[in-house]
Amino acid sequence: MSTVVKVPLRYRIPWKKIVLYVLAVAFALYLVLPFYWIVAMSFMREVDAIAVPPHWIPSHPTLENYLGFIHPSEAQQLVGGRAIDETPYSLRNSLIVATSTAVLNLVLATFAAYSFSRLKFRGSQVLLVLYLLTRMVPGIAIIIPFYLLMRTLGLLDTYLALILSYTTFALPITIWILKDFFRSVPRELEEAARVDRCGWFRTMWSVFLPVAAPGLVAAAVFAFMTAWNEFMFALFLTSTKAAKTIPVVAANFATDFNTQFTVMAAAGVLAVVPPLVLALLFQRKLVQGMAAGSVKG
Amino acid sequence: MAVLAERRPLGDTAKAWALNAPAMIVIALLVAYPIAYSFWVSLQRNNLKRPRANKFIGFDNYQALLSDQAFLSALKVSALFVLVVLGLTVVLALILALVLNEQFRGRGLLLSLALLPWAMPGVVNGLMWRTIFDAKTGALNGLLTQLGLIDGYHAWLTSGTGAFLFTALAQVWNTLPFSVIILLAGLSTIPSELYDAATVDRAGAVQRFVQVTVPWLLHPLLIVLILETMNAFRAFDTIYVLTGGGPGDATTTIALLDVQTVLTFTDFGLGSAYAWVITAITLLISVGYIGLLYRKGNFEV
Amino acid sequence: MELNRRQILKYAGLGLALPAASPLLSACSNDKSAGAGDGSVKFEGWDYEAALVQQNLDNFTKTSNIKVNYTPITSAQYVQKVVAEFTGGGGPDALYVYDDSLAGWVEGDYLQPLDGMPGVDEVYGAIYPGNAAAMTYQGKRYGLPYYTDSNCLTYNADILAKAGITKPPASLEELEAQAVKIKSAGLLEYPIGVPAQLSDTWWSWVWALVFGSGGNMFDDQQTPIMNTTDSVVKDVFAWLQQAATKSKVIDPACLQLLAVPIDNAMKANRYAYTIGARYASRDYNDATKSKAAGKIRMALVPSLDGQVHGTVSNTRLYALAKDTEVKDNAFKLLTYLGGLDANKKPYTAKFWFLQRGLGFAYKSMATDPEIVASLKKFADPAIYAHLGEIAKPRNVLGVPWYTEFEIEMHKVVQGVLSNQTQPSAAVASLAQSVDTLKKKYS
Repeated sequence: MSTVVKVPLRYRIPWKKIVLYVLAVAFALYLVLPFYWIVAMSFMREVDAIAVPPHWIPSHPTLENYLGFIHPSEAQQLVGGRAIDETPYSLRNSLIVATSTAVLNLVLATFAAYSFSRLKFRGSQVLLVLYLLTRMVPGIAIIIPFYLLMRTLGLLDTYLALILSYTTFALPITIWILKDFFRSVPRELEEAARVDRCGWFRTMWSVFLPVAAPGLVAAAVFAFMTAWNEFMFALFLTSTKAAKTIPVVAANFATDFNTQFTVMAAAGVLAVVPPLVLALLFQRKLVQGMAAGSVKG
Repeated sequence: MAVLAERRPLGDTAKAWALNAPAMIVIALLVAYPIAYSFWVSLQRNNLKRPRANKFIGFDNYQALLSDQAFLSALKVSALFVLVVLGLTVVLALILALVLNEQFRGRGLLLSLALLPWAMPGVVNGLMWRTIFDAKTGALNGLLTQLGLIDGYHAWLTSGTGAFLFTALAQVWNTLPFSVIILLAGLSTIPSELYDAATVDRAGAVQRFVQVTVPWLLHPLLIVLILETMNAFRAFDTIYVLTGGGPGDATTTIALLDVQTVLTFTDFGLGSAYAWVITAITLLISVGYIGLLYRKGNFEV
Repeated sequence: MELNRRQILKYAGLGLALPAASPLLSACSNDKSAGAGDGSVKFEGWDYEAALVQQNLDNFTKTSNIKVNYTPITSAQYVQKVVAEFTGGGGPDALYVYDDSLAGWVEGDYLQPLDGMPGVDEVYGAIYPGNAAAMTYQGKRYGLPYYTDSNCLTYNADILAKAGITKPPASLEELEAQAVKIKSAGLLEYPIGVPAQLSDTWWSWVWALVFGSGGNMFDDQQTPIMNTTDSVVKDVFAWLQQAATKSKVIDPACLQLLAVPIDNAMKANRYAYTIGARYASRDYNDATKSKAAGKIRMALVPSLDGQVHGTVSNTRLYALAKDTEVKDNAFKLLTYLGGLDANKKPYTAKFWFLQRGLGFAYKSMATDPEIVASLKKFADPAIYAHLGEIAKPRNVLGVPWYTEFEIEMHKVVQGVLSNQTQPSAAVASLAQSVDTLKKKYS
């Protein structure tokens, strides 16, 4: 009961809390509303989606737009059915490409980042900047020579072409993320392991990397997103549903004759779900992983 | 003695280069050649439509840029676009990161939402905003009308300023998450003792922010600045889907013009020259950034 | 230095190992460009109705025993991808070509002329002159027709009737007056819609308006005349500005609308008029897709004086790659697709018209009873045929700077529609752009 007495005495308007919640709600709305709109549209019939005023909640909810990806209706097969037909394949392709990119990136970047964080060597700064420099040249400048290169290697329309290109895109940044995180891992850990006569690889595998997990997660998610979102290279390097990724197919929706808004929205939602799940699964580690990197050089 | 003293760093150097070798090989094989090639092409008259007219012209492509109206206008649009996008991204990301750094109910949910736009490919982002900004059936029109803020549906993207601002907004939404993560990560490492000390000194919230948070966040902020500058300079897919660069030249950024020059006009020589100007500008800004870090004395490589 | 002998050896070893590895890499490729050696034809096209194309190709393989590897390519990036393929070596054997791209692709050594090959003269004698001109470059013939279309005024007769209008407009003045009538009757706020968002495709409606009034932007030497001897362009621009900003009958939202939303608006009775391809009427009049079904009619493009009439056409053609190793088979495929069959009938052209209403280049088809019957479902056959006869292609398709000019023109017209640029300044700036482009390409 004592609190009842104390409250009037110490009562102050909790401005900080109010501001905090107002901001939180405002940001939540800003972040979610645009996406909510395409989610809502993806469950609508075409007529409802273009209604004025808009139906904020689907008035005749339907799964038709999604089911169409598995069994295109007759009407869908007739008009611009190709993008619809390719959507499931492109999701599979995007998943494979993005996951492989993340894995390959981790392997390559871990080696490189380890050298920057643990070894003093000449040219290290030049090399670091050089890595970053390769990212400063806009993709459009290298897309045609890159295409020709892939053609010579016979890699057009394969996963490997995309995995290799995205790996080179993501590597510079992942090396930076990882080197900073590795630095925050105490050296004593490895030295202790070495005293226990673990080999270098054992030390890395069973002692160093587990501790560095948040950094690895951050780097992997970054590489995954880079691969998942890229459009222009995918457009040029792929041509069939054997390797087309989801942004390429999504672009088809934009230009296809007679595409329905609602089907496009459904494809858009499907394009967002896998990376979103990944980001949500790892969100804690993601922030931890970036933490070391962003504070130190 | 001298030999012995030098052996140790040399061993490290060899080891370091060996560790870097896989990454370097992949990058050298796949990117170095295209990069060198594109520079070589930028010194040529090289239009894929007219292969017989190809020839080496030295720096003529670059010289022509000085009087190239399309290029100069696109450069101006890009500079403005980078400023607006960067400014909005940094301010919004900073506020959002500060909010997320507090403890409150629903924080986890808000963090999840903050990651959402990251998962959206630029093309899909453009398509999404196109349905929202639609002049006839768009959600923005619907919402503002129902709230009584406008009396009738507007065609938001038909004026130059409108198209520019709405495109920038769509771009900011898409690029926000990465900045938020970096800034939040930076905030999460500020030792609470620093705040406690400031509180004892009776510093107000604003003072605490200026004296403790900002200096500590300087480095992550600069990282955000540099990465987002690079991104905004090269932003292409969202703009392309949303406005195609119009109306007029209002949203024709240098990146868009470059893609158009290479892919639509198949002018590979001029397009490569554009690209190298973009590279040079990004490089200059990055050098400025690294210089700034050095002066701050906390750039330890 | 940091490079010691051992390191140099190591790098050298890597350099040797890589070329050796590349055949291994290529083994995992899906690339079918390497000739299969069985005479099969590599065929590429944009992805319009890919399933139907495949169906038609299967029929060809059945009768001719020639295999076809068909790859549909996203229409929005078709030109870029084909250019990239030819640049890299190993493009297709036969392919679709836009008339806009033809000159560039001939100059780029991608295509070979068809002159002297069996049946070609016959085809060129059987098609409309506009289409024949569009497929000819520097006196040589490069294609057989896939489809063609010309622009017309498309209107919603039901909306017109509600405003008490019984006849479509013959002049632009009339078009504006009718639209004002519809507007003031409260039927539609903006009765006229045209796609005017920047995009890489051509704005046929601008050309249709210019040709419709007997004008042109260029003379036959591709010298700009829009700011000198030909006043039509300026007058058409003045009309556009007037209709968009004074009488406000052209929808200001057009600046953010591509072709598809315009189609949707026509189908939803939200515009009374648009200027566009004839074949769109088929969709507009299709009850399964359109609320305006049965109400859409087609008319000649209104002109400045209401007397002269003309319009613009485009031609999509089948062409033969220069470097093909299966020339005979590829040409057989071309003939099947774009030529005449054993009965001297254009088999595939008819197939496309009956299936999808794609316009035909063959004059004889206009009187084919089966075609007339099918055409009647969505258009007046007489007007349809008349448009085909008076249509002509753009006369700048052969210049290398055409694409740049087209995009520049879009921006200028956007300025006219939004009252940023006055008509006289607009034509002057177009002529200026041509000058700059010509210098750039000289």
